[in-house]
Amino acid sequence: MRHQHVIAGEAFRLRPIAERDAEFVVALRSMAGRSQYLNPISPSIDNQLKWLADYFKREGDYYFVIERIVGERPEGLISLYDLSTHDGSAEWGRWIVAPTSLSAIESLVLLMDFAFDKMHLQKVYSYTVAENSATNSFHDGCGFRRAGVQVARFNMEGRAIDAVKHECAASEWAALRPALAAKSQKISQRINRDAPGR
Amino acid sequence: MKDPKNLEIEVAKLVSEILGETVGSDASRLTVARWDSLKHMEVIFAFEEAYGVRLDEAEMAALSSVKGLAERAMKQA
Repeated sequence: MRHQHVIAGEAFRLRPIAERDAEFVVALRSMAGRSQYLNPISPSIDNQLKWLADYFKREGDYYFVIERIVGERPEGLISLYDLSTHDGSAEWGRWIVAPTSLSAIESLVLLMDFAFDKMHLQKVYSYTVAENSATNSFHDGCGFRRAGVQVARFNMEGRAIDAVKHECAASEWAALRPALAAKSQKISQRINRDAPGR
Repeated sequence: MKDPKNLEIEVAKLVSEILGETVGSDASRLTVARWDSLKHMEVIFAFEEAYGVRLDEAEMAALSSVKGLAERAMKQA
């Protein structure tokens, strides 16, 4: 959906994706080392624009560009979608950061803050390709709760792929946030201190 | 000056302590699943403290192996 939410952190902010980001999305999702566990996308900018046009019509889908505040440089993507007003839950994903970016932790904290503080959700969850050990380890390390494995959740080039589901309830996030925010702050302070002109 | 091999062993020990898993001199983010983005920053900050190094942002992202970190520590020595 075409939302207007901007969630600003210390070094990075989440801003709504726009048509002008189509090229960045294609480049990032096609990047070696970043595309292995993602659904393959067309390398065509036009096709990405068509995908975005559909996305803009979809309710309950918040797609963000992770952008460095100084210089407004896009460094990643993250989303909150499939919002259910019935049980106050949503899935988060489409998360990818550039290999040279240090935005992973701050972007996650910002998205969780958006989910729980702005959207007042009760629970968020994610599905990660079971073979993607590094990302599953990241979620485990954050303290997100493993809530099972969904068999054949994904289909990549004809191959059925299992997914690990992680969940985080609002009350759990309140307990997890301080440690993650402290890590994020340490990184952001370094980024801002080293930024040109500071 | 420290022996490069000994330095690699020393860095591997430091990384192992952060990851909670024993890794060798050939370990990198590509080979050790637990060395994820979250743990990587812990590794980087512990490395800086242990070796009196201050990495710039590009190095923080790029130094993703025991050998690379050991080489960087050697450069500092």
